[in-house]
Amino acid sequence: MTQFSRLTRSAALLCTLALASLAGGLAPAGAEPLRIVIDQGVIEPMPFAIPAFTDEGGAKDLAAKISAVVAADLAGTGLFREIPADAHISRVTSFDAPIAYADWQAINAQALITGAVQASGDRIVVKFRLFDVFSGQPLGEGLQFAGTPGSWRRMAHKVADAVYSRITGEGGYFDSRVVYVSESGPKNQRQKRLAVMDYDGANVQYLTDSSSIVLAPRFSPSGDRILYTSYASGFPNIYLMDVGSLATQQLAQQDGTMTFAPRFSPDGGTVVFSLERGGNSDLYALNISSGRLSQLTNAPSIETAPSFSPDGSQIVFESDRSGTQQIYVMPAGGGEARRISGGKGRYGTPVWSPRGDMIAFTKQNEGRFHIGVMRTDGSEERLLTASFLDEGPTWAPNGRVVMFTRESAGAGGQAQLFSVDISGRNLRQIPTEGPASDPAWSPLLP
Amino acid sequence: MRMGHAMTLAALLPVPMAVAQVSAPAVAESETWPARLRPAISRCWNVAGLSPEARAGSVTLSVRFDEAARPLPDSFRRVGYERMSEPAAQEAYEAARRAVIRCGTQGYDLPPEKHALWKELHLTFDPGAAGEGGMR
Repeated sequence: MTQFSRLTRSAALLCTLALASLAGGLAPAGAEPLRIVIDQGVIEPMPFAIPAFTDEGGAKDLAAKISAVVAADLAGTGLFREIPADAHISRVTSFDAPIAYADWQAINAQALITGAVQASGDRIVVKFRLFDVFSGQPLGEGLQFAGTPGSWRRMAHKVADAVYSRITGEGGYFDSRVVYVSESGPKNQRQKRLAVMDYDGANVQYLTDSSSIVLAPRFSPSGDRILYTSYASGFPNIYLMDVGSLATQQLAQQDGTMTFAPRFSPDGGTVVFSLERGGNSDLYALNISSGRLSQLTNAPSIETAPSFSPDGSQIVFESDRSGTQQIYVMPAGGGEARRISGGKGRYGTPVWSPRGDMIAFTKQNEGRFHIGVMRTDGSEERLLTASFLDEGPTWAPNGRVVMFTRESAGAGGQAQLFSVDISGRNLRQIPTEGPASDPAWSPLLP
Repeated sequence: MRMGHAMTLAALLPVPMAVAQVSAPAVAESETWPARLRPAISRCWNVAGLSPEARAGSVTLSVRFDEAARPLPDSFRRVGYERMSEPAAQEAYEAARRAVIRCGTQGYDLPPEKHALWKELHLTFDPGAAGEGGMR
């Protein structure tokens, strides 16, 4: 438990003045109630209880698995703490049974999630309610989701998103996927292929084989396409993949050039990327439907890692035009760029947050790598991590969590995926089958 | 510290001594039960789950207490908010209400003879007032 703030002098004074005016001890009839300012709080995971969802027919196993995934989602944020079932006093045997608030208060559960699952043929229905235990009332309306048995994890994630959103007031991020590079083989002869997984590492599907090296996959804003860089031709070129059919096409194909670091515009119609020609790389934009290519930068330095602002009006990118890698922002159509990184060290791989208020980046300074965030004008830089090698941040759909690659040192060092809250708390490794790198978070699934 | 300061002043001011002696207890009194109430609620005010917007604003609620100084759950109402949107205000209000109820189940340490003073209070929850603005 952490005390996060302190009593202000003004608050104390306000109280003092209010009471001094009532020194007689009785509040005058019709007087305003006394006002007390509280500016101290605690930061601790909110205890919640989630009894196994009840089976309303044919769904005993699914009911238990769904409630377990909901619990794992919420606890995994670091903002919530599950009270284990063996500490529960009340037993929830029916979705519509009255809530014994006193029993849940007694074990200090602040939130209670009840749910039920019904399975019939190829259809399951999951419903849940959320309760504010100490207020003794529901928190919002109950919800239900319908789907197929094979989509039970998605339905659990949707329940968790709804609970998270109702309590925190922010959008969730559990019903999302991550595309990444799955690695195998020795470090000096690493094989790489694209894979997608649920945000929590489950449901891995491989999208490419390991016949050619692939890098830097990126989801489209609608989540149905993926951009990536492949060495299939022997040189890096950018490709577009349809997630449903796995059909691919090479983009911006020009003899004598290399293309890399692609990323979609917010409307999904344009790809911005780096194009290297004659030893120099600049940023270009490609209209996917028309094939029209436009050059955005024209400098003798290396410009790469472009990322659009959510409104599509600006692009943040990295450049060594000042002599070292730094982060710059320019209009989406090109034009004068302003440097926003100003601290010691080198900055790269900037990514604009979905909220539009922050930019995540990789920083290298004094032999250490960091994942950090800063305001879009470069102010309020905060480093969230530090290690031998952290790089390549990607934002959760709600802009509250960043996932990145962490590589351990040494010949046997491996790349793994980690996530961290933008407060710098709750650093967690994402379970993957083997080494993994270059994560890119999808938007919330429809 | 405020009481000590007042007493020092009283000792240095020979003529208004009587005034100082009268006013000092009033100030001291104001430092007691509200000063006890504030941390008693604070320790249950969990701001971890609040969105950045909700942490940047303040919300004021009205609550009534029974004579045992227990908050009456049905008496809560939101009476104002600043520096945030309506949804964020509702989120902040619910977290604040949870805090008051959760830490008040056994009744707060409030002087029974002053019930008229604290039977209804306006509590302003302002995480930004201390300058940190939340979990940053």
